[in-house]
Amino acid sequence: MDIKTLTFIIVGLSFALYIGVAIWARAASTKEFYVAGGHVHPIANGMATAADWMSAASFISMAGLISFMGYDGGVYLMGWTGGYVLLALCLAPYLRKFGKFTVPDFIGDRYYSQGARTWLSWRTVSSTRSMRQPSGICARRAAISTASSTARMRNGLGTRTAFGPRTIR
Amino acid sequence: MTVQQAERAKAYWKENLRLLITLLVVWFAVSFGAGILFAEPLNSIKLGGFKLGFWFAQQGSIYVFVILIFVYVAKMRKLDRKYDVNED
Repeated sequence: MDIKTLTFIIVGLSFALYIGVAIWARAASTKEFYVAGGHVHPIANGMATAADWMSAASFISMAGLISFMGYDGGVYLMGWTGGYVLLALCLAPYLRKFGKFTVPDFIGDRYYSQGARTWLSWRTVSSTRSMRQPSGICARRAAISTASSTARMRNGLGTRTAFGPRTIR
Repeated sequence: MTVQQAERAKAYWKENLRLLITLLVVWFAVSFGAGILFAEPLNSIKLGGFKLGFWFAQQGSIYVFVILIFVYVAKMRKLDRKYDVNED
């Protein structure tokens, strides 16, 4: 069996697994979909956030950035982590009090603007993609890691009660 | 909302903002301040073999970030209890 067939089989199997989990843990409501009905323990939730911080895609692109750019790339790590402070202080508590699950939803309702919501949703998707691809090799990894976090989310393991689902970075 | 409630809400928000600003000042000072703006002068100080400015940019600020989040959670919990807006 050559390497190409093997790759297709392994990628196909992992996708089948994620899709299977998604079907098995189908969510009935929005609340269930985003925060697993609010039944996830804070510790598990924190672990999911931590796993997001050091997910395969960020792990690989971070290592690549630092070895490629040296000191300047290292500072990127600071911003990467510092963003979590801004998130925890300025966004997460209000998002929670407001009863919305994603930043685009929150902004859209808070400022009565469908335009702002659309623009932010688009920014979310494009920035998540573009930030994780500078090292090239991680493109497929990113796709897989996103698929797995979607599965986690549906499974109620990787729910992001405090931090919206991949909305900020 | 009665007048008294409105005043309480205002006081709560004021304390909330003060905490937020204090923490964000620290946040800025350790990352942009110590890591970038004052990195050069701080680099003349050595800490366990590392230049201090460099250490702040690569590790110190990140430690402080994590501590900041814990401090915020603890302080906010206390504040929520004080104004009786806690969830539990």
